[in-house]
Amino acid sequence: MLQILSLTKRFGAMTAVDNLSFSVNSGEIVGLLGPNGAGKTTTIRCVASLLQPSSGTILLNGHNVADDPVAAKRTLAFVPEVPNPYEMLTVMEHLRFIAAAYRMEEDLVHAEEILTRLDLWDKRNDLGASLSKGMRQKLACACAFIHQAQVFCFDEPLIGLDPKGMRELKSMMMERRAQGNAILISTHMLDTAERLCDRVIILKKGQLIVQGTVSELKSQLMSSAESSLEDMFLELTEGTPAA
Amino acid sequence: MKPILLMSGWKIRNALRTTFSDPRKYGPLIFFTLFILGSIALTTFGFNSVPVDPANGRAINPEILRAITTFCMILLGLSVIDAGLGDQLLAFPMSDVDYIFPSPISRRIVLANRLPALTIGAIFFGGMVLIVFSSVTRFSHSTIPTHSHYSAPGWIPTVALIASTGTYFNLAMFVSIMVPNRSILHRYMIGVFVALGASIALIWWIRGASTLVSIANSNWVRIPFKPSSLASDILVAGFNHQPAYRTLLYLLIGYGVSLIPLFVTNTNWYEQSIASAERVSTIRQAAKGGLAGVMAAKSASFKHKGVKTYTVSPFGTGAMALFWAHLSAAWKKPFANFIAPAIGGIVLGFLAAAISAKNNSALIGIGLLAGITAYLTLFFMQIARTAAESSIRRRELLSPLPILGWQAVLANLGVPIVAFGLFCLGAALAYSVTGSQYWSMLAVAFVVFMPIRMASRMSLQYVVILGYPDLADKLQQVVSNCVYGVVALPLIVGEGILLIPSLILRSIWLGIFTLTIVQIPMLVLTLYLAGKASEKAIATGEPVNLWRLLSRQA
Ligand SMILES: Nc1ncnc2c1ncn2[C@@H]1O[C@H](COP(=O)(O)OP(=O)(O)OP(=O)(O)O)[C@@H](O)[C@H]1O
Ligand SMILES: [Mg+2]
Repeated sequence: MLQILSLTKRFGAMTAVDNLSFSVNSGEIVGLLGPNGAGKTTTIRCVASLLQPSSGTILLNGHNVADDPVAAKRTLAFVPEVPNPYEMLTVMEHLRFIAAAYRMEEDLVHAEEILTRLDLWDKRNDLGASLSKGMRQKLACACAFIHQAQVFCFDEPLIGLDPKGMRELKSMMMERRAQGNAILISTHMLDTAERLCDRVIILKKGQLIVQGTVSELKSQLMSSAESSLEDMFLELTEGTPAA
Repeated sequence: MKPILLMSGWKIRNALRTTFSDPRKYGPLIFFTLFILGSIALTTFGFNSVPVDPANGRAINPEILRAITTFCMILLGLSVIDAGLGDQLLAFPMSDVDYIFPSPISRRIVLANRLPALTIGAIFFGGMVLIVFSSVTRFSHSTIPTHSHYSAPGWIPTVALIASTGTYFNLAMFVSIMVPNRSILHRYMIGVFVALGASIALIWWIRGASTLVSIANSNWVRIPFKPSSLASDILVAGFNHQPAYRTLLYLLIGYGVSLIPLFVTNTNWYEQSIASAERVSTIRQAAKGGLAGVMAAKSASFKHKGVKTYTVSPFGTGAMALFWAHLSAAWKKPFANFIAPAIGGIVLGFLAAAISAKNNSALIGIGLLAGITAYLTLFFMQIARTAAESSIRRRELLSPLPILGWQAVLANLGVPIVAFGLFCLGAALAYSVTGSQYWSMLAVAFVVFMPIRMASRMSLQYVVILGYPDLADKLQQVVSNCVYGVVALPLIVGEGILLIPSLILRSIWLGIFTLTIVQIPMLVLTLYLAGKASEKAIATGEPVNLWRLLSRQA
């Protein structure tokens, strides 16, 4: 579904992502972990072709992002780190715009369901300017779920959501996984990643240092069975063995 | 195309609705747009055949007219291209970055979406040139030799000016999507402007104005700047009552051709565009951490360029400490903030003295100096705008400080005022040491009058910015600029009226004296208003309602 082949992204002399390769298969949620500045956002932005990779290939559902960005992006839903809604569009108009941009056939049949689950249905006629930070985040997620994407990229989607919002968002992701979509989320919430993600990828300074299921990582590191993902994360990224 | 058009429609509709419920937001923009379009239309078609007494009117040489227009159009074109090297043209709103850039809409269509903005820019600037040009030729009673009356330019010159400006806008847009390291070129461009100004002054000084005219009309200038020279041909032909259809056709074809490269290229300019937005947002993020955070972010970006960073040693208390912090921050770029303005002033002062001496008329030199200073004023106002905007972002830091509002305003505007003061001081000193005619008047005007006036204008702008602080929205910035224009216009007219007695009495001293005396209460008033607005904005974090602020004073 999503394939990243030796992706490298440099900003001037600084290498933000260094020869990174991984893939997210259909029916899979993959967590992208790493300390601040590891290159998670940069990777996801390259997937959405917001950044031009210095080298490497990204395939979205078989379409090369660099050669055929429109076809590739049609299968992609992307939620940015800090979403900025249009001040002068209502919540519903955001969804309508997305529907038109992705040329959806059936017009917004799921809008009410998605907005209700995210507690935005009552706000559907409010302007973007009046939304709170968490609502902006939810609106961006609603826009991602409204069209028929096959690959989802979320950049720290859970930050700023209330507990109910978090739970709904996670269950919506799991429903999408059940439908065979591929989901990539970057997050710092390790306990969530441990429970939600089928696989995790840990980045450090732009390089992939380890990937696999949480239990695979545990056996690789020969950590004790009780050690959490958090312990392993710190051990891998900081070099401090778990206590 | 359709989704974006749909969305624009909704945005405009909602914006209009908001205007009716909250005129603060878009009212001034609509007013200003109608004002500008009305002025352009009036200039284009109105005032037909204002009779000019041939005995009284000065005949104007078409060659000189052509040279001046070409020169103005080249200057405009270079300024537009320079804008393309900055972030202005490419910086899409962050919402577009989040919702349009990742969507399956091709980059060409997104770019096409930028064309209305480019066209509006072209209409605005082309229209400005038309208005200035017509009023100068009309009010100076200048005539083309063969005609004894002035006619409105009509639609052909108007379209020509707009098409010429639009061509430069398209080129500038192309430059901004193609060139990743634009900021370096930006600096060279400033060099080009300085060199251009210096060489013109030099040629004028050594060879006289006629050489300048022949250079401007030579193919060396006319061919590289074809859009400028074609437009000036049409304008001159218009004054001669010859419709230049064929030249206009060339110009329009040129405009069309300038669109082609924009849509042929396949570069992924999203990255450049996001970089512009990102630059703004790092500073904004850091601003949340207070002044220290901003300085850290700024010094981090300077480290790249190998500029030394200085630690701020605290000095003074209250507003003085705030002012000192700003000065220390500005001192990290001493050349741009302090040395360049001072040197620029000195160079201009000497140049003005030299040109006055050469032409045996102090007025030419002083006029040149005044004109350039007026142009630079715009830059300093822009710096003051940035200073005022960042003070809003530092609200959390400022709110616990026990500083009176007006003192905080003065401290925040300190750096641009000091920079402008240095410029004025340099110019006055240089002009005075040459002992040129009127040196004492110029010194008083530059050292006393201008800095006070500048401080008062900057505080006025500060009030307006506090009323319209919504930085995220580009449109809001335009609105804020418009409101400032609406507020400042009567002041400029008022200053003109105040000058009438001194014109009648033919006393320059009286003029300087009147204007200076008036500036002092103006400064007190604007500072007071800005202080009140600032206290309110810092306390609430809400946009200040300007009308309520004013009516409570009344
Ligand atoms: N436009 C840019 N120009 C220069 N450097 C950049 C740019 N964008 C990102 N970087 C650098 O690339 C590195 C990776 O940044 P990125 O935003 O991908 O990190 P991240 O893993 O998302 O971190 P976080 O957890 O803080 O969100 C950082 O060192 C950052 O400073
Ligand atoms: Mg990130």
